Amino acid sequence: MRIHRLTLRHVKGISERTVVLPDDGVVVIEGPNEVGKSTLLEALDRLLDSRCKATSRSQAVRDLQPVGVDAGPFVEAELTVGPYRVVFAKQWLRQTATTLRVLSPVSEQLAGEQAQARMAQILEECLDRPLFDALRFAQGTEVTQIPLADSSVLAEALDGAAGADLHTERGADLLSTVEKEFLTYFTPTGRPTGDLRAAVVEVTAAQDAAVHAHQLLQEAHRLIADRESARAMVQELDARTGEVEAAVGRARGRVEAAAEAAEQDERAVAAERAARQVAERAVADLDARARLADDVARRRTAADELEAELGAAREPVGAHSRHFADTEAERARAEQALDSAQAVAERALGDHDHLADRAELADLRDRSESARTLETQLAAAERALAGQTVTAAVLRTVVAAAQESEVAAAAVQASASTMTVEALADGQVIEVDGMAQTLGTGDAPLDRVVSRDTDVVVPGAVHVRIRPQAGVVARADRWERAQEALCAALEGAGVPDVATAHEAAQRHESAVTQVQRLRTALAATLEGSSVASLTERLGARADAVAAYLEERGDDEGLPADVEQARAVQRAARREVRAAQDAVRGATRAREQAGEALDRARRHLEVTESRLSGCRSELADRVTQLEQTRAQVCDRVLADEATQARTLHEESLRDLADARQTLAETDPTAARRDLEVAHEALQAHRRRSHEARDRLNQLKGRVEMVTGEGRAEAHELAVQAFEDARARLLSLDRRARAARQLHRTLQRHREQAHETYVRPFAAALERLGRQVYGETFEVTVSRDLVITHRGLHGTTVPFESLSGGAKEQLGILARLAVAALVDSEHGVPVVIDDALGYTDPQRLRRVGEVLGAPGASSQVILLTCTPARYDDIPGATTISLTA
Amino acid sequence: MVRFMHSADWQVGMTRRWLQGDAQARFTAARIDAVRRMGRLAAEQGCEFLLVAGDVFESNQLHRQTVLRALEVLREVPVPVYLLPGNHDPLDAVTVYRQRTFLDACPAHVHVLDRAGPYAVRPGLELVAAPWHGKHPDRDLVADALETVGPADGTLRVVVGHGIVDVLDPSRDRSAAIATGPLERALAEGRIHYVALGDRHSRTQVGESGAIWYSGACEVTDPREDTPGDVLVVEVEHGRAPEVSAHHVGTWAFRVLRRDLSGRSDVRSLDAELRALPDKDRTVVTLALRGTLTVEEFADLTDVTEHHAALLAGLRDWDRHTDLVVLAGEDDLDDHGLGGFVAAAARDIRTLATAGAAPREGSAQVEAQQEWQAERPPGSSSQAWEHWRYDPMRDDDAESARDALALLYRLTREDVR
Repeated sequence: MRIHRLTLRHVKGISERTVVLPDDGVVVIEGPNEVGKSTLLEALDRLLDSRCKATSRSQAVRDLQPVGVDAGPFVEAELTVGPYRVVFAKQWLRQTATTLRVLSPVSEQLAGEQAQARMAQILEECLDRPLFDALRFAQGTEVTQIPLADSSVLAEALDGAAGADLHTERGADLLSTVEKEFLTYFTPTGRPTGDLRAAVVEVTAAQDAAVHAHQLLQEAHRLIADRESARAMVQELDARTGEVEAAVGRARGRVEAAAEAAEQDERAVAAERAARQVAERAVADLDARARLADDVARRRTAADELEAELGAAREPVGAHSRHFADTEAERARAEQALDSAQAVAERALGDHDHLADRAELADLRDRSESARTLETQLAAAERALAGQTVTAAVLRTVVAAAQESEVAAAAVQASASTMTVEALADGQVIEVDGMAQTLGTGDAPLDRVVSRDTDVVVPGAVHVRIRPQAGVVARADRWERAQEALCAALEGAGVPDVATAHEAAQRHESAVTQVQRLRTALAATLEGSSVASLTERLGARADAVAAYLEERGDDEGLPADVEQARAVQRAARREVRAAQDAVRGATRAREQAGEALDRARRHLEVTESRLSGCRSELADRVTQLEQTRAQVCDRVLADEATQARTLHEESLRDLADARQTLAETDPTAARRDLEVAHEALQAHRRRSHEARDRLNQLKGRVEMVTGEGRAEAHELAVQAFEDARARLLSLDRRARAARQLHRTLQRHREQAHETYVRPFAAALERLGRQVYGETFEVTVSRDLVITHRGLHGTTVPFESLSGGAKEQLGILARLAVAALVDSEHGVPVVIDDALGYTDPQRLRRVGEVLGAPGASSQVILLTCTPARYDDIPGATTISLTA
Repeated sequence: MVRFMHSADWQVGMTRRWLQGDAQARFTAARIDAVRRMGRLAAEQGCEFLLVAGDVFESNQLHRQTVLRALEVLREVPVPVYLLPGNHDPLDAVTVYRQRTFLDACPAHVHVLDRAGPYAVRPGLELVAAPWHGKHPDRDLVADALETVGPADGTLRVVVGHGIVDVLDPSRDRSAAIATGPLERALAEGRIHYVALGDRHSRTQVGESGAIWYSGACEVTDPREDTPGDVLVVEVEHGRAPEVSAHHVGTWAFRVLRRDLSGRSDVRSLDAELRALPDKDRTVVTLALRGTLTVEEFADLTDVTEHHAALLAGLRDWDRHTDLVVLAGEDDLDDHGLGGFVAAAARDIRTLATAGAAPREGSAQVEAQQEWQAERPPGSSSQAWEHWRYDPMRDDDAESARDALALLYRLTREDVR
């Protein structure tokens, strides 16, 4: 489309303006703000908008109303659209009118609705609306991507440029129609929906119902089969009933026969028992009779034997009586002899003791004498001892003191100084230690051992003090103490000196020895006793001797001495023992004789008693025998026994026969057989009953089930399912067709778009490189949207670009499109007040680019800054003024 | 002389899968109506009785209502009716003939031939019945029944049996097949005079005697049946062949249209043919179409079939005998003003559609759905439909490609309009 001329009258603030545009190249329309640049475009839009008919009073139309003028807005444009060159005008709101003049190829003149319709037709036919809208660019509006993907003109152009024939007119419309068709069957994600989904649900339900009906039918078939088998079971069981019952009858017959045999056996047992009892009694009677007779005979013999025995027993009793009397006499004699022997023995004992007492008495007298002598000597010796005081201990004390004294003296003498005082004149009084002494010239000098402080004073002359050493004084002290100790010891011992002490000690020792010797001798004499007791015992013994003699009366026969007395005594004792033995022997003999006598007497008594008893019993038995025989005689008794035995033997044979019969019938086995047969019958009846029950149940159920008509229901259900399935499959065919078509068209359109991208991107880059240099590149998505811009090797997402860069790219993209589209189908590129953010240098380059495509497209630039587009070569400038 | 009506295979309670919407109910009602017409015809024709040679009922397990309706229409039949149990309604444990529903509602003039052997209809006239006692007899029931027949003694005898005869089914070794030899001999000897058979739904004469007949079903049940929907009026007399005349009582038609389609004119003539069909609501059409069509022609064909499917009681493709190739050349596309990416897409789809023009492998579920099943044994287990599952995500194939092309064609055409 090309705009040749545009006339506005009474539009907004414009009262009248006509703008004539060159056929191609860049047109810069400049003018101050509010002068009505944008109104030109708005007016053109309203004119070409088929909704804004002349009669329309829409807001869009009323916006065109002039200010302060009572007239309808009028817009007229001379355009080339496709092959048509037209002049189209509208006046709205007042004196509305629409006129269309088609200048070529065939001239037409139309007005009113016809003009409107014809113009709409021409535009619809030849104007690519999306492209027309896309190539408009206005500063301040959203600087985003241009919606190029839907432009068929561009698509065709891109098709041509790409060398592919992928564009189609109305492709987009077709695609949306197909999509609508697709969406009647599927959700956008491809799930069944709407009728298709309903059909699927219906089929599923119908299928479930059919499966259910099928199961019911199968169940019916099973029931029928079960009923047949139940019927067969009942028949089979019925067929066997007779046989089972017959078996019971047979078993019962056998049991009855066995019972009969058992009864027979019992009777035979009873008969045998009775016969046996009778026979046993008869035999017992016979035996008793024989035993009684035997008894009588035996007792009679026994009585005779006892008579003889009694006679024999009487004789020994007399002999034994005599012998007993003899032994009694003998015993009395022996006792007398014993008494005599014992008297002799007693005398011998007394004599012996008497003689012993005498000997002791003599001894006691000797010892008593000697003791008294010794006692006297001992007293004398003890007295002597008491006079001797220097014991060995005292001597040891004295000797020790003497030794100490000597040792101390020697020590003093060894260490002490010696002082010798010689008188130089006689009569010199000298006081040594206060003790005045007179010393003359002839006197032996006064020697002194100086062992302690010694003052030697010559009265009126000198006083000499000699002081020995301290140790000497100590030794002198010791010596002094030793001398004192010796003096004390000697005094204690009562002796004048040490030698005397030794002698006194010797005397004391010999006195002690004497005393000890005497004491020993006395003790030996007393033999542990005292003199007094010795004397006592002497008296007692003398009394005893005298007394015995007095008792004995005389001493005739008294043995000479103790030895003899002892011999006599021993002999007497032997006599006594012999006499004692004799007494014991006699006593024993008497006892034996007594026992023998008793035995003989008892035997006699016993024999008498037995004889008496025997005779009495014999009499009883004889009576008894006579009585029984009087009742039944012996022969009758024997006959009865024989007969009873015969009868018993017969009953035994009968019993054996019965037993045999019983054993043959075997009642236990017969009873068991009957029980088994009975149980079999019961089980059979139970089974029959159960089988019949089951059959009846199954009959009932089968009747019920067959009345339901399950086969027919099944057929109908399957039928319903198949109907539903047919419907579904019919829908499915259409759905799949729609899906395949939709899917394939989508795919191909996307592929087509991809193919367009390349020429568009190439055209854009070609322009961009003029502005930005050789490093410029763009990435364009399939729907012709610029996603990234590359510059100097750096790639930046479109959204991240600056406003100026976005604007420049937007303008370049439109120019690229304009360059691609051929002049017949091309539309003006309109850029309203843009590039305000672009620096002068870049602006110049953009200007060059803007100038370049002028050969094939109109480029209309609106600006209020006249200098902005000065650099565009060959641009036509139209200045608007108020 | 006796004159009677011979019918068989009423199959009361039968369902047919390709019937659409309410067609099933009408199909069910139709066989009841056929019996009603039969009764009127019997009266018109002076028939002494109506003899039904087996498969009166589709199954022994029918809804009470179905049985009652059948008995109700039998009540209207003005002559005695003799029903023979066949393989669908045998005298087994659950036989419909001994169910309370049947016994309570059975009219007095309706008799069930429920034992093998002769039934005296009147002096000098016997029916010799060979009823089925189970679904799978192991011997020739008719032969058994024939053994009970006495010598030729002036009694007219009509044998009534059910099952396939050996001469019509020589390939299968079925011990239960009806031997025709003994029947023909007995006919020749004058011991029997007519053999009324059921089981075959096409009216058929067996052998050369002219006295052994299948009456065929009273109402069509399968597109492959010949001359269904008839009953036979039979007149039997000593010493001559029976007079047998067929009378149509059925109102439904199952048609098979085998057509070669090679252009728009063929599609139009198919359309005309379908339009010309009478009684569309009682007609089921099975199409067996072959040929090569353009996208446009195929779209037309789709329109045609969709239109008639709505009118007919049933319309279906006989898949096994359908072989349509859709061609879409550049010309087609250009003709419809298709260009650019649309044309490229159309080419893609066409490639797939053409690739599938070879013997169609198709998807298993489509095959399963369209597999022809004239007779589905009732109660048979492990049926394919139990395991059928719909997969909405199926990949595109020749069929979908063909449909997609047709859709594209239609949409662009509408667009142009």
